[in-house]
Amino acid sequence: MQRQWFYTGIVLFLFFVLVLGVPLFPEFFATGIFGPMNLGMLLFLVLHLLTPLLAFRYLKQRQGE
Amino acid sequence: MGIFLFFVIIIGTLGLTFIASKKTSSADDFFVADGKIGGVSNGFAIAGDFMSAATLLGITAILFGAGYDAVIYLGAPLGAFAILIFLMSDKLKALGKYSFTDIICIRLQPKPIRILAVVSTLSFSLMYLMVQIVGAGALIEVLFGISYTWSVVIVTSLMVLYVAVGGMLATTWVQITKAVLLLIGVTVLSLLTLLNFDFSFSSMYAEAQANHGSDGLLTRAGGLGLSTLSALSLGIGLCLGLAGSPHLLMRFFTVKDKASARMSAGVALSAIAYVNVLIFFVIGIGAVALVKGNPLYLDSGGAIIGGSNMVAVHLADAVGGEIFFGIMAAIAFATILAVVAGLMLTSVTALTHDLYTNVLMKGEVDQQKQIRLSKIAAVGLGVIVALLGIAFEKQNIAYLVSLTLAIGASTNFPLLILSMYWKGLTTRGAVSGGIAGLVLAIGLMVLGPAVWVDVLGNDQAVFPEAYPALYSVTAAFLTMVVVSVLDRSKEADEDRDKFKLMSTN
Repeated sequence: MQRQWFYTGIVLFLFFVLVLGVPLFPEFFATGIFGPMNLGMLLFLVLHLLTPLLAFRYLKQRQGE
Repeated sequence: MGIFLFFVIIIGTLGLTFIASKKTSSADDFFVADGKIGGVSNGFAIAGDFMSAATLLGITAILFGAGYDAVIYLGAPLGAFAILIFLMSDKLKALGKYSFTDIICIRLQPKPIRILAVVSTLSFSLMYLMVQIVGAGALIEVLFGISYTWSVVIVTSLMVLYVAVGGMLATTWVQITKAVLLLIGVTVLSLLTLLNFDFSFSSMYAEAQANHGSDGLLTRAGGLGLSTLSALSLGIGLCLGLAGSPHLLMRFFTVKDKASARMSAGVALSAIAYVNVLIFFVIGIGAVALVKGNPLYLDSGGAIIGGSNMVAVHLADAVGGEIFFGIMAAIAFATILAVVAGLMLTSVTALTHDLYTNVLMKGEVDQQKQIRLSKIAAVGLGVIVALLGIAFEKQNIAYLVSLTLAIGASTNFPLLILSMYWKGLTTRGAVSGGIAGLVLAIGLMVLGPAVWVDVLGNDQAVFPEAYPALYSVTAAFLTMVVVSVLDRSKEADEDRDKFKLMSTN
């Protein structure tokens, strides 16, 4: 599989886990992690950190080609 | 102070517009700034184009009212930009000229595709423009105390002026200025909010939880009361709709090469992710803690002054006083102006480049006439948008955006992604699927609660779901695939043969 489809898949997977977590797993995603942060909020943060990281990794890879 | 800053913003951006107008002489200049915008600058312009009234005002309002469920609205742009960066940016830059339709027309028959794209782009842009106008109207109403209707007239007039006078270059400069102002504004707003709680997240969340009520829905899902299908529909509509937004796609034609296009999207994504994180973890929560139930921000009926869309600017007042309130209101206003300018330019491009020049005149229109017609189109569209803005005054702007994006998700996105990646797509399939997606998206929106009940005043919606995208997107993709597979015409074989032209390697 080409890497651009793989990267897109990772981001969309995380996003739709977040989306479906709202109606299907509200209690699970409300599990506390630390302080006011719960699992859902952590997933939101991971999505927002990982996506730009993947984007710039991809840009770097394409520049090297 | 707020009024003074408003005028600074307006005069500053108008100044940029008139300078840009001196540098705009050809159709290439007017529509895509002659492809001379740098990658990083264009990234800020894309961020400026994307982060609309819905981002700062609307999503903060959803967090304020419904809590955690706003993650769907905030997460969607990440999915959309992943699609744009990894799957679309190279092909957009390499194959497009003025609009995304140019790309599809490389392999499919231009006339029906351009007509469909014009209808879809105009439906999308007019709705999206109307949403921004609703936000701007409420903002000016709160700040100046003038009527909502006059507020709408003022904003629409400015929007027409930016586009008619300055074209893409002016729009780009306004968008970059706005993106930088917004990044600084939300950073300072977040710092001041945290300062109010001695930089203790726990204290801020505890106070917000107490204000929000005992249901715990500030940090737990359930505030919007979404069913599984509704949540999925909302997520699909927002994510694919943004990836199919004509005003964002158009920005990929303003840079010089594919590397710059990718860089643009990366910079925009980072800026958007940064603002989202601050809105979700600090600004939204801070607004619940400091604005909710605060009599300073309630009218005589106990509702938020100016409506819930104004909670972000009320928070600015709560943590920074009148001066910072003025600054944030001015930034929110600049935010709206930049987005409406981009959307207006997209609509004008669809009308003059796609419909008039390429369909009606078969490409035989001189550049000066194209520019002149674009300016006339901008005035006409401005009048329509102002009327729509007045009709939809009371709706939440982030919710209205979700409905609008369903149009982009149901027509532009399937058309583009299948054109780029599926050899089997034929013109008949593309047009049938595009019409199915467009008619369903608009039809279900009109028959749904937002229009059928809230605007038209009926007791019950014909289509009970608040978000139509799941149904319209599925119908669009299925129709495109089924009709294309069944299409055995000679033209269909030509369409399939031309797929090789989509390669950008």
